[in-house]
This record gives sequence, structure tokens and C-alpha cells, in this order.
Amino acid sequence: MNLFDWIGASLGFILTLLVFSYLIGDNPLFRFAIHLFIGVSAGFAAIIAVYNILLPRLVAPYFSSNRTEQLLALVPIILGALMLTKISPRFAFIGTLPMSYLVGVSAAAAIGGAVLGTLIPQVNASINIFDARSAQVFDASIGLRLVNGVIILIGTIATLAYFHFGKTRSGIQKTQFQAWLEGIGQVGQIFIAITFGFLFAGIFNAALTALIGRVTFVVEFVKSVLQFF
Amino acid sequence: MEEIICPHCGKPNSPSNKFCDYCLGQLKQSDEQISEAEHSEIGIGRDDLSEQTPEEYGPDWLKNLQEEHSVKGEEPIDLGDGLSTPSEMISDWMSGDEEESLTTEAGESPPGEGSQVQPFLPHDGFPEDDGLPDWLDDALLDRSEQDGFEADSRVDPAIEGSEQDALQKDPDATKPSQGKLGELESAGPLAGLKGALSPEPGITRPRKPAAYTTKLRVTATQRAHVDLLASIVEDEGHTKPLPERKAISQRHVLRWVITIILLIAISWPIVTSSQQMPFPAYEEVSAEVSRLVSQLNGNSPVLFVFDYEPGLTAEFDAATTPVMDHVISRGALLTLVSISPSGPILAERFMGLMQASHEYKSGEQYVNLGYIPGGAAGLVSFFDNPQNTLPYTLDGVPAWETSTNKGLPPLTGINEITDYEMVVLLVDDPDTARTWIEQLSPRINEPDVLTSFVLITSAQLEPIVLPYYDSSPPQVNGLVAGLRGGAVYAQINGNGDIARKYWDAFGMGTFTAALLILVGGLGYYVIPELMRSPQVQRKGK
Repeated sequence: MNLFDWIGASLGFILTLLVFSYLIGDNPLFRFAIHLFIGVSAGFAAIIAVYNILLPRLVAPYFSSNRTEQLLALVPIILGALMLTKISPRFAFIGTLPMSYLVGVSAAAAIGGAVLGTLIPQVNASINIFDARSAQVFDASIGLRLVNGVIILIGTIATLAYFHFGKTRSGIQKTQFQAWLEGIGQVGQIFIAITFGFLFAGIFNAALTALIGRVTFVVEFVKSVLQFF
Repeated sequence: MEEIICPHCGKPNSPSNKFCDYCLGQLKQSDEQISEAEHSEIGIGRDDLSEQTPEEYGPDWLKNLQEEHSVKGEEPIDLGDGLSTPSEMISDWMSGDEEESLTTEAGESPPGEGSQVQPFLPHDGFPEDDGLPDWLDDALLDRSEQDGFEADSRVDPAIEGSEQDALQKDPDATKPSQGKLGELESAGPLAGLKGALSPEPGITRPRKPAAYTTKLRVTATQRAHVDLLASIVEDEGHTKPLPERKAISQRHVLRWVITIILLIAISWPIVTSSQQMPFPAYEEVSAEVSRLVSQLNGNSPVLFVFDYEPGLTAEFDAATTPVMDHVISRGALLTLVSISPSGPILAERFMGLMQASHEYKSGEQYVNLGYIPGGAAGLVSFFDNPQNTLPYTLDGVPAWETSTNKGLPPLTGINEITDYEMVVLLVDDPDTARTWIEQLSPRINEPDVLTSFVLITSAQLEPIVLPYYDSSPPQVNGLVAGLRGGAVYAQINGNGDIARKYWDAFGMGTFTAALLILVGGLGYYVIPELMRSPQVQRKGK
């Protein structure tokens, strides 16, 4: 381990202990570590923006001999300059043009992706569970697949029923349909509870692995220090 | 020639003057004015009395009687000079004795008007209250109120009699503010002037304003609601002192106890370097990734996307190392990108980690193209035209082949996203994962596309992305989720040093946490039940 590795490991060890100091409550040491992380992240993001976006796309084209590249580079420069007018309330309306362009393109990409990438494929997948022709192998797994499909169907309908917030016309007496809907909604509540339990277990596993990573680092650092002495 | 002394300024004036030459004050008051003043004392003017006909002035019953007579064709009741009415219907004092003209309180009758004055008013002022009929009393009262006087301004007959005597002696005494004549005004717009007329008593004595109660006329329920609202509004104005927090509370102790137990549980395997716990069993979802990687040929272009936060480095190191090791062992050429600003540096760090076992050089076996700006729109741009979206590497070197540039080997033959044989997404955020899947899966699910798409995710993301893997046709071809996924992959292909190092501590930590949740849950429900006194338990039964 060279000198720079030692300095880096020592800083990492100290910062890890500062973050662990939150166990005794919010304190200046913990806040110092958090502010340091936020500052480093913001600084790194700014560096990435300058070296990965601004310089190669706005400046570099003018050092090349390609005339087309130079002309095309004018477009982001002009749009970026128009966007800067948003700083002044008086000239903010000028920045509406690049802003509307950004919002329109982003919305189109997001909506198109949601429909074609999630909504339609997931609906098809839910239907295809009951499509025996889509099963590539006809064996005992077909029955298991059907059971799985029934559970998914019940879970989907019951969860949707749970989020039904209808009201009777009279406001007092429930209709038979609503009584049914409430009963199915209670089944949906069970599915939702299982889902939340699954999510909680995943979050706990991720946090536990992060803790193990930090404890492993601390233990190894202490071991290396002890070996040094 | 006898001079008249001005009652206002005290200076002598000619007897023919009606007004003072010095102060313009009135020197004499005419009889008419005196009579007017007397009538105004009781709230009724002489002109009013003379102009009103008996029909207008009399009581309702008298009017009705007269109307009945006129309807029946009988001779109308004469309430004027020729007063003719049944004696039983008219009071005695209204009889012929009262035919004389109405005289003023000053005792003088206005010339030429005697015959028109109401016959039922007395000569010498008003009689005692007992002698005045109610309807007249009310009529006088109403008229006095209409003239702006209070009902209380009616003069007591006894006092009135004495005033009448005084008026007879000195008519000028009826002038208002007589006592202040000649005085110098000390305030107001007329300050400094002498003999300014003071306002008349009728004007200076305004009627009392009607008294309206300020209390709410509400029911008891409404009153309760009003009080409640008032108390709420009042409470808002008061600052409530925060309850004193104990330096060491029960919650702190509980937190420390749980932390110590958990730290001991995970530290012990790490300190002792224990690796006794078996790896998890085979999982199809992770094995599918292994199969796809095994199909890669030498120099196959593979795109790695680093989109996770630095805080989850340990988990992604454990999950990604076996997969990356497997990919590198197949001789694939790597392209690294990210749509989060911290992604490029994480990618560089991870490749540095892999240098311990593989000599993969930047620009030769792998290339880091850095950060893709623009979110979903940026992804679409990168998928369709990667050369223009990310023209340079993270080091600022031109990455793609042009007429003047040879281009880097990992990017040779790459014109769009489907030119990669595999796309590996390392992600911890649900939104980022969904954006990648939504934009990429429709492109790679085309019949002639051979690109496979696998995910390496944090364990917290597994429930969210699993439906994309389970769907038919699958939108994601394989999944390695968290430390467990990495351990499964390492068990299949080996080279899982990090996963192996963490696995015992992970097992102990998970077991301890489950135990704490169980004990805590039991304690939360059982201990309060046991703490209840027997009496309360009996009551409950």
C-alpha cells in the first residue's frame, strides 16, 4: 500500500466513523461528513458537465476544420443562450422556446416509452399467461404456470378493487356490488402487504450489504494499522 | 328717541332696526316667531294644525266613522266649525265649548286664523295628562318624534305653565341661546366673533342611537362551536414550549442495543474471516445471465451501464464482480456509459478493481464514454446515433472512427444500440431502471435483433424489475439482484471473492435482524398484555 492509498484509506476510515456518529444523534461531526459528500458530488457533477458536455460539444467543433460541425454547434449555443434569459424576469419569455423544445421532446420520449415499453408489454404478458400456445414446452409446468397466472390475475383484480373509492348514491346503504368490491379489496390488501414486505426485505438487504461493506473496510484498515505497528 | 339695546352685543340701535347694526343680531322677535317657538316646544306647528283637516288629524275611529257615514249616504260628521256628531261618540271636551280658535301658549291668537284652528285644543296650553285623550297623546308623540325630538322632550305641564308666564312677560326669552348673547366665541370656525348663535336645543340634542346588543343570538350547539373555534384560534397565537427531550431516552437505548447486537453479529464473521455458510441455491434468473454471457464470442461488443449511487458500492461490487469477470474472460470488448453524473467515475473505479485479475486497458479492451445527458431523450439519441451523442471518451479522446480518426477498437462497427451483443445495466433506482427498460426493450425485441439485455440491480429493486423478466416475451433476459444474486452467479461460474467475503456476515446479519423483528413484535404485543393488571383483564373478559 503506497502513501496515497494510506491517505485515502485513512480519510475513508475517519469519514466512516463520522457517519457512524449519528448513532448518538444528530451532531456536527455527522453533518460535516454529509456536507462534504454533497459538496464533492456537486463539484464532480460540475466537472463532468464541463468536460463531458460543454467542451466537446460547444467548443471542440470550432477547433475542427469541418464547416458543417461548426454550423451545427451554433444550434445548442443559441438555444443555451436563450435559456439563460430565464434568469431575468423581463426577458424570461425568450427562454420559452428552448424550454418548450426540451419539455416536448422529453415528454414524447417518456410517454412513448411508458406505453410501448411497459403498458402494452405488461398487459400482453398478463394475457399470455393463459395462452397455452405461447408455452414452448407442454409438460407439468403448464399446470404450474396456470396456477401462477390465476394468482397474478386475482392479485391484479383484488389490488385494483382495493383502490376503488366509489360511494353509494344515497351515501349510507351499500349496494351488493359495493359489498363484493370491498370484500375483494380486502384480498387485495393482503397482496399489497406481501408486496410491501418484499420491498422492505429488499431495502433491508441492500442496507445490510452496505453496512457489511463499511464494517469490512474498517476491520481491514484496523488490521493493516495493527500490522504496521 | 328711545334706542334699542342689542341683546347680543349690548350696543344701542335705532328702534326701527330689526337687526343690530354692529353684530347683525336680531333685535326683536315677532309674535309669529314666538308662537312658532311655543308650538315647536310640543312638537307641533300651528300651521300644521291649521292646515290639517279634522279627517287627517283625528283618530282612526273618527275617520272610520266619517267614512261610514259618507258611504251610507248619511250626513257626514262635521268636525270643523259645525261639529255635528253623536254626543255619545265624541268626548265632552270636543264639544262646542272648544269652538274657539286655537291660541298659542303665548296667549295670542294669530289674526285671521282663529276659525281654522282645531277646536279640540285647549286655550291655555295643554291640560293635565289625565285630561288628554290617548290618541292625541300618541299623535303628539309621533309628530314630535318625526320632527327629530325624543319622546322625553315633551314638556311637563307644570313646567310648561311657568314658561308660558315667562314668555308672556318677555317674548325674546324664546330665542335660543339667549344666555350666551354677547359672548365671544373661543373655538371653532367662528372663534373670535361675538354673539354667534348657538345651535338650537332640538339640533344639539340628537336622539340616542338605538341600542343593539352585541351578543350573538345562537343556540347552545352553535355557541359550543363558536367557543371551540375561538379556543383553536387563540391557541394558534400561543407558542407552546417543546417538551424537554431527555439526553438519553428509552428510544436511544433501544437503538444502541439493536446496533450493538447487529454489529456484533456481522463483525464476528468478518473479524474471524469465516466462510462457512454455504452459498444460496441455484436460481434460474441469475443462471440465465450466465448462459447469455457464455454465448459471447471473442471481441463481442458489450455495453455496461453504471447507474447506481456510490453508497451502494459494496453491494454492486459483490453482484457485478462475478458477471464482469465472466464477461472479460470471454474476451468481450466493453463500452461504459452512464446517465447519472457519478456513473463515469464509478465505472473507472470498478475497472480499476478488475485490473487485479485482468489486464484490460482503457482505449483498447474497454472505453468509457462518460455521461449521457438528457434523460430519456438522451437515451433515444444514444440508441440511434451513439457517435454524435458521445463523440469523445471520458478522457477527451475522439472515440469513433471518422475520416481523420481511426476510432477505438471497442467501438468498431457500432452504429446503433442493437449492434451490441449484450447490454448490462447496473442500476439501483426504479425510475432509471424503468427508463432504460422502456426505451431499450422495444428495440431489442425485434425478430432480427440478437442483442440481449440483462440487469444487475440492488436487492431493493428486485421486486420492481422482476415482472419485466417474467413477462412473455421477456423484456429483460436475465437478472442478478444484490449480494444474493452475485453469490448465485459466483457459485455457477466461480470468481466470487467479494460475495464470498460478505456472505457469512450477510447471513448472520439477516438471521439476527429476523430474530430482532420477531422478538420486538412479540414484545410489542405480549408485554403490554402481561403488564395489564388482573382487574383490567377481568373487566375485559
